[in-house]
Amino acid sequence: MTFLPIAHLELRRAARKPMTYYSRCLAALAAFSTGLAFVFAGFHRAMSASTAGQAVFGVLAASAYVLLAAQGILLTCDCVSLEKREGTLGLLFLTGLNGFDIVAGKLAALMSRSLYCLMAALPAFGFAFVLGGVGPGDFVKAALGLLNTLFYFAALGILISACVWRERAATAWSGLALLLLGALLPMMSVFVSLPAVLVLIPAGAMLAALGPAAGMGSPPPVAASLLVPHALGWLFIGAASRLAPRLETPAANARPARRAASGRQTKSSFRDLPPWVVEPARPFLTTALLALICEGFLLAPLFGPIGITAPAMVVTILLLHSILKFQAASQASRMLAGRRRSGELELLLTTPYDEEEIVRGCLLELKRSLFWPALFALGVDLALLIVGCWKQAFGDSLGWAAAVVAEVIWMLVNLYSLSWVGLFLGLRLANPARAAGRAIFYVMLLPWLSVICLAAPAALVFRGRLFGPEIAAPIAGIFGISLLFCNSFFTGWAINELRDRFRALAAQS
Amino acid sequence: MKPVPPSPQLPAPESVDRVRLIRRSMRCFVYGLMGVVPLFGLGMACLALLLQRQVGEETGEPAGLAGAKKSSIAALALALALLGCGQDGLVLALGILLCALQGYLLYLQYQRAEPRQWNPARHLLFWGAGLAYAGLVLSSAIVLLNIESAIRRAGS
Repeated sequence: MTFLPIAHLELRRAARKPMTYYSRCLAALAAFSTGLAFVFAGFHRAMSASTAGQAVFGVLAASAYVLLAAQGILLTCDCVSLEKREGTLGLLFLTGLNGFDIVAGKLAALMSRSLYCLMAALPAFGFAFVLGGVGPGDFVKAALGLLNTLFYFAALGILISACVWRERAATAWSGLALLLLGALLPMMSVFVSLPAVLVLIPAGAMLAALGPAAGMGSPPPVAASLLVPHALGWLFIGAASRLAPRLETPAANARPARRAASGRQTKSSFRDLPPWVVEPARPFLTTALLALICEGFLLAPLFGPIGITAPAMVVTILLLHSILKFQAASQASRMLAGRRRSGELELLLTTPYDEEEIVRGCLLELKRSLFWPALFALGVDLALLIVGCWKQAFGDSLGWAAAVVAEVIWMLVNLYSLSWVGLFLGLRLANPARAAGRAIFYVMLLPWLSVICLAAPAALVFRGRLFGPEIAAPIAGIFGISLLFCNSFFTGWAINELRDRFRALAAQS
Repeated sequence: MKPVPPSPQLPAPESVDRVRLIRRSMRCFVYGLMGVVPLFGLGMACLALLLQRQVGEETGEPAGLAGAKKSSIAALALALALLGCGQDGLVLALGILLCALQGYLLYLQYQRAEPRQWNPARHLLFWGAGLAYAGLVLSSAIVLLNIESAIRRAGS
């Protein structure tokens, strides 16, 4: 008998996808380019060699941690629940497979791409040895910590997927878990110095590997911070294996049916929308989440010394905007994907509604669901702008005001782009999670990637003075142009394709 | 009675959604108009060229410019040589000259190529592509000049 047959099947399927190969090449290219930029900087005395070594190590480890945590949880959060919704999970249990076979198979297949990317990028950490300031022990700790991060968050994602039925709930819970366990807890533990909490999450091992550069006085013990999250990961897998068959009952879908029967979906806020829009928008949940983040980040340091207030304000603004953008991409991708998969969209096109009206209805629904959260975020931005100017956060209140205004404008531009690109990709791919991920990659990550890939040649041409003030302006200019290019090009592309190919895509089975 | 051999017929044109064709041509012009702005219109210029290629694929008309690639490569080599000699102004002049050359080539292509599908907005398609090319060439010239000045500053 084959060991883990689902893993065999899924791995064979992943091996036939070109993206499996392209993604690891991209990861290696980005990591090597960043590493080379710091090597040139270190060897040409733009900064001291050991500082450059520590910087390249910190930048690569932090970027890899964020990407692996997000990929691990977001890729797995809907894998079992999708099988439940499509009714194929029950068929798998008829074949004699048990819960562990299915959960482990899904986990192995979905982790494989991220694992390949990590393996391709790990040799770039060697640049830090060339420069100095980092020992082999730190490298081993970071590598193990990154592997642990991927495993922990993928296992958590699969547990969430085994517990929920609907795709929206899976995405929301995984986003919340990522935010809490991946970002908020590590940051708060660093600020308040709580090594005991860090033992429970994989960020502890990363902070231990980075050492004092991470800004933590007493990092947690390495062995405990590696073993405890790893054990927790296996616990998540065990729980998911037990829960996956147990929840496979028709009663799991009773909640939406009850809600539809009670008539709560046709409330007055949807009076002006087309009658086919039945997905309830929940702007207040997002607003509450944003308020929670603001409270967590701002209340404590706001009245403290300026050294804590300034980073807290920057982190709050960036975090609020990122959540809003993620929400826009996720909702836009979900709107047409499910309808296309169920054939509802094709039926809808036989009614007097045409594609223009359907797209307009989707955008209206999206605007209504994002209006209050966006207004809340803008209010927080305004408050922080005033507080920053009042406290002279960066020594120059005018610079702070300009930075906040630029970030707000950029957020609005990104929201517009993500709405269109998410709508189109949701329709084309018919898979909301993949569509949202790809929209975020095109609009938000691609400009960063292009600048990172330019870093090594730029460092070579400018003889390592990449971080000097005379080179910073052209680099910032190139970054701005690539941001503008990605937004305008992909938005225009999505609008074109939605206008030209809507019917053809909606009719695809 | 002797049977008459069938007369050679021209291949029938494939059926094309003409409404979509005309809309794409008009959109290509609008994007080209926005794409002529150097640097800021780069995305729109690429979209205009993408639309031109899509329309070309549908109608069977050649989308690429005859001689555009060769003249662009020659101009890039000349621009790098001029930058090496420190002739910044000449690089910008070369960019404008290249724009004019591309425009002339496009005009020739518009005149010579026989349209295979009826498209009343065909001239807009060519205008859009020409403007997009102009935007791309000017953006490239500006980027080259900026890189050269940054290298010079770094050297000094």
